[in-house]
Amino acid sequence: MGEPQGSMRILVTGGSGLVGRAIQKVVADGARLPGEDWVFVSSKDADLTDAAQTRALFEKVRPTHVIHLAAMVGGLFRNIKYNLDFWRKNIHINDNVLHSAFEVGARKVVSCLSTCIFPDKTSYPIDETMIHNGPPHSSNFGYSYAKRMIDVQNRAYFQQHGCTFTAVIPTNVFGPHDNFSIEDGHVLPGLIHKVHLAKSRGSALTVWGTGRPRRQFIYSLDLARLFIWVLREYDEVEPIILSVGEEDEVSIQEVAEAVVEAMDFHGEVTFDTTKSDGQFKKTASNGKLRAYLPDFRFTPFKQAVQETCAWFTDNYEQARK
Amino acid sequence: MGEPQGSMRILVTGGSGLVGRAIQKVVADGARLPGEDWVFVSSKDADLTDAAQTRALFEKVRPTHVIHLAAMVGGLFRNIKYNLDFWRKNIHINDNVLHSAFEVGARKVVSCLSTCIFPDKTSYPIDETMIHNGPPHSSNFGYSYAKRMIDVQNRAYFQQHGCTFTAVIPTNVFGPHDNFSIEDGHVLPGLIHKVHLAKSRGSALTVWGTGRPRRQFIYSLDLARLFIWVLREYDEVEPIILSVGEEDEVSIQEVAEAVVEAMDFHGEVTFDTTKSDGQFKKTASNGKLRAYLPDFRFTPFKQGPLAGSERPEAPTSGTRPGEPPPFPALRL
Repeated sequence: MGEPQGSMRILVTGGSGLVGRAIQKVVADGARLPGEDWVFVSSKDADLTDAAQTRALFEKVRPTHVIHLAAMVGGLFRNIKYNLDFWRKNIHINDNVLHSAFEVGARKVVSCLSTCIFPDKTSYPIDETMIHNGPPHSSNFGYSYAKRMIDVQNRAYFQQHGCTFTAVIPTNVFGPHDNFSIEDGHVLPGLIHKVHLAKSRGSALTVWGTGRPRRQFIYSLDLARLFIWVLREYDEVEPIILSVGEEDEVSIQEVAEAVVEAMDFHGEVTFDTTKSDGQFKKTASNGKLRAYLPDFRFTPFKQAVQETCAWFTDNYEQARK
Repeated sequence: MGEPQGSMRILVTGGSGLVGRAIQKVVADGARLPGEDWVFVSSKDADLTDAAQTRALFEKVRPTHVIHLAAMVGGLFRNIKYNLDFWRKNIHINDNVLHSAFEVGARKVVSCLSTCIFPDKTSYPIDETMIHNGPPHSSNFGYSYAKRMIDVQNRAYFQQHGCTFTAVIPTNVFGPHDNFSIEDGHVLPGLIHKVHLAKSRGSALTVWGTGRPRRQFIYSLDLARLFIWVLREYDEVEPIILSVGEEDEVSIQEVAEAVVEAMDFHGEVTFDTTKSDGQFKKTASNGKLRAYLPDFRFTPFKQGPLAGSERPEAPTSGTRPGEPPPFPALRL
């Protein structure tokens, strides 16, 4: 590939995942600006835990900008068992990507953190200044510290070289192309899969827990639009939380009801209160985002759930589950 | 090298530094036990930032135990300018050493942290449970986070594989083979160098700051004895602070006076109070160490020469108190 002439070549790692596919769609549906060349890569293109392969990829693509989504991720039970692998693999991926980007002179890198990496003992709402204020939850400390160190490394590239490497912090993401595994996935895609099975078997839907815990969700297509805004216009090295506000928190019961309605499920819905609820609230503040974009409108939750359920039903065979 | 048969082969990285040399001396002077094979390496033997070189070294030595002292270190001004390099190089060194040790089946690794990595905003005294309770001081955040992540990686090796990889946390170390650079080094060796120059030039000694801040110091030979005890007998994955107690904190003024006395300096001593004092106190608790070794005796900080021929030996838990060492720390 030749040098991009006075334009942008954006490399997106983890391009085939939940967020990567959403960015692909938003770009293809009209968000791409003239002069922008978008390159989406996945593990088929390079093993990013390998420094030489990563460097070769970056030298071939020669990006001016990077959206770094690639990571080793997993559900709660895998994380608990493999903290070393989640630590090492993600540290290697992140160091290889950030340093290869630096070496080819990329002007900006936007990486992806997660609200699950915040301190376990903290006040709420959490905000961007609080990431390092105490240890994360012990169940996935390997993954959490590796993600936190993206922020440390971003600040180090800025301090030593003046680079603008930054990061976003989404709350719970959902949408097409998610991992819909009931054991391994997250709560919303898990519920969609459960309802699908309950419909096809004529059985009840059993929701784990009381349904009372509250969470903030962000639709993958909204996150994609905000990622592109961050790439083009957000110039801080400090990360930014991308989420609906506290006023749009929903309870797990409301999530289940939205899925039931979207999938036209008429069977019984029960709550297995012997299962753990997890934390009651993990409210994150989106004040920083609102200060930049007071008028950004998120897709209404029920509509986003409908679109995701429709995608799952239409793509059931190929969906990751 | 063949396999150590039912014995220990201890690889010491950073073997030529301040602490590495102290361990060499303590081992050579009698602390080595039968069946122990000590191998000291330095950057001449392998570039530990390179995974392949590190692995080759570990496959050649095949240690059963590792004392990991190697690091990229520097004074305050270098740290402030090169946070990225201090972060990356140390992360690479630590990952290469820990993982190579794991891959050759080492039974134990003891790494070296530092009290400067603790949270900047914290209560005192600091203890081993507080390392990750907040961000470190911003001036050397790259170095500090890289060191902290040794503790994270130790816990991950234990959680996933049951390994006993652990770490010690010394306070201010001093002794022979230190870096005595006035710009780049730490306060005590810097003062020794300054007094030496003042004597040879017939000039005054100027101490930066008011002299009032207080610090805990640990003599490198004492640290070496304790490192060897940790290697042999400390089985926790959680780290342990190795330091004199709070009652043995000394002020910078007392440090200057001890150096002046030890070097027989008779010139003027002034304090340049326009220079920053830094933090007034950074007291670390040695309660955990004292629970294990209530009778361990540190070399007296400031004392005249002692006659004696006791051989320095590493302490053991419980029954036998540490021998008094044959010479005090600041005989110069």
